[in-house]
Amino acid sequence: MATKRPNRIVEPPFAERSFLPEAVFSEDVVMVTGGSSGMGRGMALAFAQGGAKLAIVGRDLEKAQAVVAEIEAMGETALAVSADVRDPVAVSAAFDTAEAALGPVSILANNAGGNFPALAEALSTNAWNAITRIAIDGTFLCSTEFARRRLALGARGAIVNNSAQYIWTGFPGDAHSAAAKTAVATMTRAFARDWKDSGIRVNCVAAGFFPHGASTNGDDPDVVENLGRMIPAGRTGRMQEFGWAAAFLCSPFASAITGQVMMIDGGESLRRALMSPDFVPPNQRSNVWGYTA
Amino acid sequence: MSRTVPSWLEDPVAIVIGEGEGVEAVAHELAAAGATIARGPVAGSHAVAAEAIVAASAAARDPVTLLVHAGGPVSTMRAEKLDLAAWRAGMQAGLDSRFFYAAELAKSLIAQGLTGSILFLDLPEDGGGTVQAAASGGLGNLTKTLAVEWARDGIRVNTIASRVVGGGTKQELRSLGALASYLVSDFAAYVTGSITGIDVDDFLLPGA
Repeated sequence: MATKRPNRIVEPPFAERSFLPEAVFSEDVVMVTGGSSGMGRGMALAFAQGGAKLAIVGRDLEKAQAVVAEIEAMGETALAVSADVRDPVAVSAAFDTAEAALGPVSILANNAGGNFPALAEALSTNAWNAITRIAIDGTFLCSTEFARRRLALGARGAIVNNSAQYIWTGFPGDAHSAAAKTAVATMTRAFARDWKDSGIRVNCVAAGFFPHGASTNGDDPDVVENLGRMIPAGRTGRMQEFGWAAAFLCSPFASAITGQVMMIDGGESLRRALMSPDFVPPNQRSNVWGYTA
Repeated sequence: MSRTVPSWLEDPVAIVIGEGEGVEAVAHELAAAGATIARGPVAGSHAVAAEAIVAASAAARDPVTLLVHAGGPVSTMRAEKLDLAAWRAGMQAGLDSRFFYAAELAKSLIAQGLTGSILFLDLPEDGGGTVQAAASGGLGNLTKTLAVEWARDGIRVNTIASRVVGGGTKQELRSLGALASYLVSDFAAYVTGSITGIDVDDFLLPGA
């Protein structure tokens, strides 16, 4: 029996600490879809730290404007744009609006998405469509619109996609998002191959648990701390480290990196043991995403 | 833009093992990011790895907290032509030595109550012959295993698997060095058990 050792849980530097040089994105216009809350906001703030101009795309303009105000308080420029990423006309219009105000979009962060626990057999057509089409169609439509514009300009560009830690293992009780998020990861590689010779890089961050105000119990510190204990790293992710990962992949420091899916989950997707609690199928669980009956 | 990465590291001592353009680019960027670089030999046993870590710590007057382990030249010889000596040399550099160093560094960090980071530099599975395929498969799953085993000790384990590790353009080598520096820094404190490439044509383990 191994000796029990104390837990050593490593926190990232504070959100305010400089990661990339201040002016690293000063020539860039970054569009973040689903940028008005949670992980999209995390990415937007990381790009703003590097001096980028931001187009914050969301369906709720008021929420997007709140993130714009945060970025402006950092001394940077941002614009709120309302769009549904499933609608190609709306996507094109969002680019037009952003580019008229800020200049050509040079970096795209595809973050728009949604998720909720559900038994597969109980998923309605609308529920399946909502989750898969925002993530899959939305990523496709925004990326292709972005690429067409960059190709027309003969300019380089970078895309970062938001995926999830469960993309290589499946996620019982989450059929819609499990399919959607893996499609985003594999689409990343296909885009990267298509556009490599044109200097458009495409990468993906496969995220673990990054609680935020809009996620389930994400605003309750006690709950978040409890959730951290189920993760090998001993904590949930902090939003700034998610943002930094996305910003790094789009930065000049990563100028040769393309087609990659970077897992950032504190080891959550790798947690396993030969001996586990009895298997309880999702339909018998008190919480579809939990372990217990 | 400056040619090197920002000061992501707070003067740790890194022991760097292996040879080739890739590992030299990584050592260069780690130094730029703030690390003190020590070197060690490929190890055929725990004892050799332990001795190298002790020597590096003594020379730097600070404990080693980072390990970067690349391989060596890869044999592309057909499998039926490989003799045992060539096979074992490849497996030692590609897999065994990495395990010995990782385990010895983890033991050292745990004993001192320190946290640290381990980064393996590898070619993709199809970046060489049979030796590379076997070593790369073993290393990938070793990365994932050690990452979870030592996660609560504050020791992270990641791999960069790319043909760029064997050599590349200046731009590719800089990106490799920057990715390595980022991954071992606390800015990537939530990245562990990951296997990341550089180029879209790097063939990685399924699920990497």
